[in-house]
Amino acid sequence: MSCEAVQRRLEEALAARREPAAGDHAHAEGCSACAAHRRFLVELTAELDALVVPPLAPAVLAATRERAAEALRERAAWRGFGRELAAAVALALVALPVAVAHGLLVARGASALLGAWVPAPVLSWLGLVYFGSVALAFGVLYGSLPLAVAFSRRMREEAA
Amino acid sequence: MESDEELMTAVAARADERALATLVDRHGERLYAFLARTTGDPVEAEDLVQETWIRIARAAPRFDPRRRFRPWAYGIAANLARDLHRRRRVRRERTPEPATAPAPTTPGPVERLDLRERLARLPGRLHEVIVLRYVEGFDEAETAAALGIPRGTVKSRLHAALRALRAEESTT
Repeated sequence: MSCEAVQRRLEEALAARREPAAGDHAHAEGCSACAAHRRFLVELTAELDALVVPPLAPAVLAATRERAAEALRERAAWRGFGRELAAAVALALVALPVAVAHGLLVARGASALLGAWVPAPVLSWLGLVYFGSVALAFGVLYGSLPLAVAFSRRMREEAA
Repeated sequence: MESDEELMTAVAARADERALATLVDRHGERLYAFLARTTGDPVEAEDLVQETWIRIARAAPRFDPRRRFRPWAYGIAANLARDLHRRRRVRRERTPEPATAPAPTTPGPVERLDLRERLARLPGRLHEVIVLRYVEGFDEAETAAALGIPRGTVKSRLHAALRALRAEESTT
């Protein structure tokens, strides 16, 4: 039986607050190193027990309860946000092909109408500006969806 | 009486504030004591215990009900204590050493002060194992779960901590 193994088992026993195994106890009786280690462990456990921490003030415990509940409410407030946003984006995407078709129709009509009078480079530039502004409008619209969803949730919560 | 795990499941599923309050009442004081012991500062521990419960509330959906609540909660607290140790170390490194020796702390019985000093000198990763095993009564598996380390590492850290404390004892 090696002293190191015995000392490890003594450490385990004291951490678990149980008596060491009879064999280890007997070994420690006859081995000065293990006996000293056991004495140290007993002393350490006693001293750790004696290390007193001041009790937590009831006000701090109450504040802890309140802050934790607040964090829970914040988390709950965000629950379902993703689902609502996805629904809003899906709805908005339905309108996208209609808007694109409308844009193409406008561009074709304008091209047919102005093609005879306006030089081709100017017409191309006008088309580019038109499609650029349409894309920008859609970007702003889709980008503001999270804000719109958050706003509508807030309104609902306040109404509730 | 509902188990901690059942209460935590209610917190995760229904954002149940009553269940969370029950958990705070059951474990708030002990978590605070754990933080006070590992940080060595009851005032810092008051802030950290609040932060621990805020994180528990936020992390509730990630709680696995097949695991035990206590090691999970202590793991969150231990992480916060480690962050505090790290911030203190950075502060110490940035602040030049004072020319004079610091004033002694509140005197108490000599042997208690000795142990406190010896424990305080232990590196954080050894200190937390000692507190979890010998004060909080965690077994090896619970300590491993709380600290996110293998059981073998818990054993070796405990052994190293005890060796360090004994070595200091023999030199004092």
